[in-house]
Amino acid sequence: MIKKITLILLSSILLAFPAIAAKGLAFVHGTGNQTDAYSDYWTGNFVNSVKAGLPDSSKYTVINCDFDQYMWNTNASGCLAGQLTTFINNNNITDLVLLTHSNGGNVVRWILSNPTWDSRYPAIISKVNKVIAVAPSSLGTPLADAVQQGNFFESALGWLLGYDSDAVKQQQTSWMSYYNQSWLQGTSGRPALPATFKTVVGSDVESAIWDGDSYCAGYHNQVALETTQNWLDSCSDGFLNCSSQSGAGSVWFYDTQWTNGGEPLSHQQSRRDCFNLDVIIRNDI
Amino acid sequence: MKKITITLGILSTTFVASQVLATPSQSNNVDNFETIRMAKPSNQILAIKPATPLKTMIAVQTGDLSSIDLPDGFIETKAVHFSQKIPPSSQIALEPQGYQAESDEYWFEVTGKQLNKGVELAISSPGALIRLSGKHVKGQFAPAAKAIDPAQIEVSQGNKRLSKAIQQTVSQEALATANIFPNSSAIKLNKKIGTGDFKLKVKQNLIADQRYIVNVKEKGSQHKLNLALPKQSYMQGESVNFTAAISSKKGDVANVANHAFVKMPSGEKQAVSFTQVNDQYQVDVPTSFLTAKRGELYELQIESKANDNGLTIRRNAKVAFSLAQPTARMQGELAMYSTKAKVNLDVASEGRYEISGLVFGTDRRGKQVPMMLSQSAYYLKPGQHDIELHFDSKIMQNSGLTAPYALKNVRLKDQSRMTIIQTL
Repeated sequence: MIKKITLILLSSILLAFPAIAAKGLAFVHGTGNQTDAYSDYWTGNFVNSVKAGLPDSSKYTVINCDFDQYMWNTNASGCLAGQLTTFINNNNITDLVLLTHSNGGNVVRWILSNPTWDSRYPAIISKVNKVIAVAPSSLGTPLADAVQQGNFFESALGWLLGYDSDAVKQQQTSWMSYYNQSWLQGTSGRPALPATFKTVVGSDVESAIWDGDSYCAGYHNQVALETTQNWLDSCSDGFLNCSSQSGAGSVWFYDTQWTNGGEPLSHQQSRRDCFNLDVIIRNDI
Repeated sequence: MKKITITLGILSTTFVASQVLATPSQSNNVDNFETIRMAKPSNQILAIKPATPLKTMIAVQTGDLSSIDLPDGFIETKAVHFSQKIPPSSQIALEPQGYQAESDEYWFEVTGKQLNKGVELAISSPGALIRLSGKHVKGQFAPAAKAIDPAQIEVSQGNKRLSKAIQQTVSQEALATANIFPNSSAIKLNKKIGTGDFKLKVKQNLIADQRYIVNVKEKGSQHKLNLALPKQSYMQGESVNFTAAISSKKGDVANVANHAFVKMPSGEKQAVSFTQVNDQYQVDVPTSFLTAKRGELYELQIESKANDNGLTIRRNAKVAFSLAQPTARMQGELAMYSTKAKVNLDVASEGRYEISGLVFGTDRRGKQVPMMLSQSAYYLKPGQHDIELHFDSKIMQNSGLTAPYALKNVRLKDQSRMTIIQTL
């Protein structure tokens, strides 16, 4: 009798949930042409800590694409779509969380905003449960404008992990304004994205030589930071103004609200296991 | 048989410079329709009760379509349809939002020979930052090796060298640690030297024809150049309007000399003339500029110079915009059904085209609110094509909204060339 009831209950559950949801996590890097983002962009400590929040921690992927290209380029969003499709199909993912950093948020927004661009996009969008966008460059950065002041075919300067690239041009402030108004969703006045896009905002950079916290993810030269700050607001992570990081989707939290010791996250620190960021994200997966 | 009256408003279009006034009213005799009047007709082209199509004439657009080659790169060929739910509380702007740049800096290009001889600087705010960057031609120079040692920089005023003019120097090695300016060095002027005209000279022997960018950044300056474009998406032949003014705490500075340039997607910069029309300036962008890579933008750059009570003010600003060729257009009738909209496309250039629109429904208070964004794309050869914009009936049913429905902000995009070519 008990066996019969158990079978009936199991049958009911299976009928109610014909396919058991499989949650997956993809780490989507920022500007740069990555071939080993696990080691070079995120580090194993960060990836392994965050993916521990998955029901099955094997269901994750670290994206490696050429995000020195414009976000619509085949080697950027096309590459991302290919790797996500393979990951979804190979692991029967039904509930996908995308963790992006910096310009990776723009490439993901490209896919979410342009579902008819590529026949692979709708299937990906249907699986995306949410995007956790850490320090996304949604409204661009004045620093990209500064490095593009040259007049001719040469480019004067460089960029974090992506030098003299189309991605830098794209992230100039008035360029992002055009793309946001015409091709991307999620910013003010535009339709919402078809999936949750929640952002983590880095609000300051600390570089005191006596402060050990300043050394997480590498030390910034104080004078250099003071120089770049000439192009940024008082609230920035050293590369992006807070207004840009919060320009699309909704703000999940500002760094100092939730990090250990209320430490701010610089642009480099927000992709590393600094000040408990990895645990905060892990608990939300 | 009931009579239907549709009031059409002004249809904004990116194809012509001015707005086109559509047929102000139109009467059809169609069964099963009720009279519907739209409270705010702008950008609203159809409002119906479902089940029977309602046909509306699209404003006639003149001008030849462009037949151009497909650009390189992947272009999807399968038809794709997608609809997403839009929260009814969404505040969606149906008109172009434009862009305003605010600049407290200027930059110019010089050679190594000029820097060794000395270049003029106009400083309008005490404590300015001056960044010097060696430009490089791909494959020819290692820019870091051409960096200027900031300890080799002298600042003078008149014929007098100022021994304490520099408050802080930032070497190329130090600036590179910030990862954004690896090939730059900089100095910060001492606030005590104040404002005025100065000369900057580099003692270090530089290659005579090596080119450098000199960037004067005056954060916190009361003098700002405001450059604004009312929109950032233009069609070939359409004039680009802009406003440009240097403002201070006392208001706009008078007698500003502006020089306008258009920077092509390739990076080449060309001086352009402009005219004043009412309170705006107008630039005609040469059609020879149409050499853009897919999705790349043009820039309007303004270099301004003014004299404010004897103080020289220099500012540069730039705003990006897109320039599209009319590769296809919607024409004739646009018909809205309960599950789709249909329209005829006149296609001149082979490629992939997307039609999209916002579907609005009516809430319990009788207010029209958004419910769905629908997009359909097709790969099309040149010729006439009847295409459909597919709706998702489940989204409509689950929205809790009722008829009358309306289709707004209908856009035609050329995805192959990444341009917006028509908006209704």
